[in-house]
Amino acid sequence: MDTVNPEASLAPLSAALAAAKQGLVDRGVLVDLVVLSAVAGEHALVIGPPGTAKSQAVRRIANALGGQYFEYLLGRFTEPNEIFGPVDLARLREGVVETLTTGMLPEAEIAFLDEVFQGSSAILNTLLGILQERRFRRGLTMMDCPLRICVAASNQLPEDPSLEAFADRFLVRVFVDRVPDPSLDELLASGWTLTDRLNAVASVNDLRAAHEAMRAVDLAAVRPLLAAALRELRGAGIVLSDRRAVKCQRLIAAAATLAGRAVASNADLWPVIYALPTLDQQTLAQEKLRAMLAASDNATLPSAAEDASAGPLARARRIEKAGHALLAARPAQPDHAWQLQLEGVAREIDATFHASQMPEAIAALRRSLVAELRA
Amino acid sequence: MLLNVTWTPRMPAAPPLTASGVYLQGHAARGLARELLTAPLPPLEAVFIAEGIVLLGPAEQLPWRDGALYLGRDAAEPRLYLPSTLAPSVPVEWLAAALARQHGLHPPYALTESKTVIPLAGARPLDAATLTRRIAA
Repeated sequence: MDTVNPEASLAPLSAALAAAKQGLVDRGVLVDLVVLSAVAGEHALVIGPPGTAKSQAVRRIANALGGQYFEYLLGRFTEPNEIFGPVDLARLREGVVETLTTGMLPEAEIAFLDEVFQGSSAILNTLLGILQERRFRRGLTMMDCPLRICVAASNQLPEDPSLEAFADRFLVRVFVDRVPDPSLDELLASGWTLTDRLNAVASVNDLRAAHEAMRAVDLAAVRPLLAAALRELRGAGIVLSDRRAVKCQRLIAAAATLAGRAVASNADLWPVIYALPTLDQQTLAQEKLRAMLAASDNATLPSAAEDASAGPLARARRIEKAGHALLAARPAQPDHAWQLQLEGVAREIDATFHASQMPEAIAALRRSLVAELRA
Repeated sequence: MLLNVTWTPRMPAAPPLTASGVYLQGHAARGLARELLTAPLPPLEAVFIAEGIVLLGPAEQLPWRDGALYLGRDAAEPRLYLPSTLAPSVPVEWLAAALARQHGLHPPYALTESKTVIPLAGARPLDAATLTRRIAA
């Protein structure tokens, strides 16, 4: 295994996130959470209606990361061969059941399984082993899997208790919906030109390095905060299983790692929202934990940090990033369209931050925007 | 119209209100009115008062000017437009009840940090003729 400097991996991972998000509308949170989950060594379950760019978002981040990617749409009649590979007929003639896994899920580093709950028990049982142990077993075939993350998708959460147990293996839950009305124009414009073919700007080695750094993060300061958050949630009737509560720490450590921190702080508590299994629980938790998550901040995962916390720091960082990117893209002859975009950022700043509480970085950005708009 | 209420920044205790209106005064209002006449009018409703103009509509349609006050609505009383970055010291439902009881004012209206109440019942879609009259006035 190549030795990669964890700190040196942050820049390529940031670049991969930016490349994957470009052109996607309202899917920044999903892309952020795929990388967060991968660094944490966990898997993600995306719930949302068909045609909401779930697979496109995952495909784009997989391409940007350059990983061995496997994607499949499961149906009620999907055979295990279609996911794990066909039986080796030559070996079968010798009386041995082995699986040819080339190009199939057992050899994938990033996997996307659409309509995962449609899979048969044979598929889901084998998948469980891959998800939990990163190990594929079928007949005489036993191999370690290089899987960094499996993202599964479904239109809705399963109601069958037997499927709930399988669903519980996906620590991170992301709920997506059709883009809101105000974003439709942007969706139509970007969707017309968007391509899934991205050049890799990072590698799975960067994910691996970040994962190793995650395991070394100091959580001593944040554990009491997490415990307090869990008690607050219990008081609101939201009970996280002990297993999910413990595993939450991996998400928090991953958030700290991706923020460039070796010691987790209250700025990294926000992933706890995404460990909650249902949308109602996540929405209620955002309200109950608002004060605790106010300091949330993550330069690498700004969309998810802001979405989870609605915190001023996370919001300010997103606006700052968007504003500076716009100023950097100043056309040679500034046109009305560009000015409207500048006005949009200025409007969001003034509608979000009262002058008495405006962070200095936002105030500086505002001065730059006003200078351009008055020019 | 003076109200015995104080205003404090909403964040971090609560997120800002989604902007659904903007209040511009003086030169900023007159400058905006002139500019609006030079392009297709945005799908906004307008209320003209002596001090300026209030525009109501989706956030992405609201114009930006330096000094503009953005207004949002609290779900507890959606007919009140409040400064999007500020929270009143009393629940908005109490504010509305007090304004109705003490001053005979009924929503919709906008409240500003300077304790001004701007009735909005007369809001009408922006039109060039009204804008022209306002500029000339």
